[in-house]
Amino acid sequence: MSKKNIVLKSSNGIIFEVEEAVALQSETIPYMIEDDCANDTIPLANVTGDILALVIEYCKKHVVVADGDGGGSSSSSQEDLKNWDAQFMNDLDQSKIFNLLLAADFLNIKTLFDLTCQFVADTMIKGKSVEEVRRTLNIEKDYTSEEEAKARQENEWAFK
Amino acid sequence: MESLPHHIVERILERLEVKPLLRFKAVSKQWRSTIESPFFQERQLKHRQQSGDPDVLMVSAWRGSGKIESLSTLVLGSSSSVKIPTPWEEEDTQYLVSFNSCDGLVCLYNPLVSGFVVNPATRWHRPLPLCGLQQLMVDLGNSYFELGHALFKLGFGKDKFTGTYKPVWLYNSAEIGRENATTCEVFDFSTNAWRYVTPAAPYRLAVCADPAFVDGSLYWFTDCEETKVVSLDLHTEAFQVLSKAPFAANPHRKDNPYEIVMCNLDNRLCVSEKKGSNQVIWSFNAGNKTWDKICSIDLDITSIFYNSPTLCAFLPLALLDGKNKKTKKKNKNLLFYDLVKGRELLTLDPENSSFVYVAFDAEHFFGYPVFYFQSLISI
Repeated sequence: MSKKNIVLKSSNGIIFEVEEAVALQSETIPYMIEDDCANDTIPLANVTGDILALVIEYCKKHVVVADGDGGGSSSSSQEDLKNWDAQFMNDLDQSKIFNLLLAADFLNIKTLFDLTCQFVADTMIKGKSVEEVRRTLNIEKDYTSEEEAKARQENEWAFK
Repeated sequence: MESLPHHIVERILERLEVKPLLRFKAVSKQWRSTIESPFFQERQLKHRQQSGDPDVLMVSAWRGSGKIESLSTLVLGSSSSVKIPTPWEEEDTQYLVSFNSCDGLVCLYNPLVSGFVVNPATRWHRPLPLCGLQQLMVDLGNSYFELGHALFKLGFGKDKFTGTYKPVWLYNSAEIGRENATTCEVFDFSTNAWRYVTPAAPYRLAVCADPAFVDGSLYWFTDCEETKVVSLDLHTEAFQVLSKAPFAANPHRKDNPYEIVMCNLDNRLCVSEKKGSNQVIWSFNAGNKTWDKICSIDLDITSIFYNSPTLCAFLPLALLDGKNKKTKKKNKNLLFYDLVKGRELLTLDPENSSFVYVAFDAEHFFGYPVFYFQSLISI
């Protein structure tokens, strides 16, 4: 049986052809295939080419391992994969990370979504101050100064 | 500048620990409302449980100075404990604690004064008024102790269908002149009052062992010739006899009731008996109603560790994820402690019977440890 390929098209018109198993790590794509079976190309209106390339790189890496000897992956390959994931995330800047997170959410790729969320939590949020978090996530302060002072006071010990 | 939709921000925040989340309530009103929502708090707790970073809470630790340190907490794997300040610190009351935590909450109690439900991670607490039995003890004063009524332990769990938390007292009736074998009181947080549950357990209870909470039910040992386990379903509030314990009938148990213990390990009911130089831990298989032996503690080796033989059965706290040093394979290590030397926690790797200290601050010489995962939950 020959392997079936799927063609994905990014919002800026870049075409990617990938093996079905790679694309099917997304839980959204199967619905798009069903809905649009006449056309072979699946348009992804809110994922740009550079982000889609990253998503595909991730999915390719992960499909190989899930497909390994006898179906199950050994603990060493699990370890390798973890290291690969860490390196993959480390090479990205904040804008890429946020767009990857949006793409993983839209395409519903659970492991990539979890990986990206955890990375953002650990590196951009965890040890940061309230102001730093507002800046990083571009969050508007909707408290008045009094309200904010009160919110800080309630859990004063957590600021130490 | 880029920003993320709030439903994604929530999924990021649920991966954080409790302390930064308390801080981030000051980021915005929306963040505050997320962090305070029960749905979010449940997801956050699940992440903590899956990440496998448990804490051990030490309750009523006596320090060398003779002062009682009400609460301190230790992240397993770190070397020093952190004191949690409490408003009742100055009272110097020695509180006991429910043996298990429930969603990061614990109940502190004392026979004669009202207690507290506490979330050690957020420092939230709520008073727990005196139950009928405690009121009786206060009213009778010293003459209560002449009745020969044993000290019973508070159970704490939750109805898994409605999510309602329930502290439960179950105690023998005869000594205090009541009918039926036992009396049961359940605390209702919505009315802030204790109420009686009838019928209570059909057999008198074996004293001393703490009740265990597993998957929506609380469990106690009975005082029958052949020790049985009774359960209280916290949803239906019905008692039933679960099974005979996997111990031989022991006519001497009354002389040393501290030989048997029960606990929750990996969400299964486990019981254990100290016998000779060995303490076997059995896990209940609810499917075929049998007891499976999961591991045993060699008491000859632990007596070398503790520099003296143990008088009571060791209390298992949890099964921790570990790694076998030789084979590099993942395994489960048993975390347990000696009731008499409460501060000294040990782990056992059952595969090669090796023990490791997970000691608390060496200054403590007594306390009640509770295993818990940090949560934001309050009642």
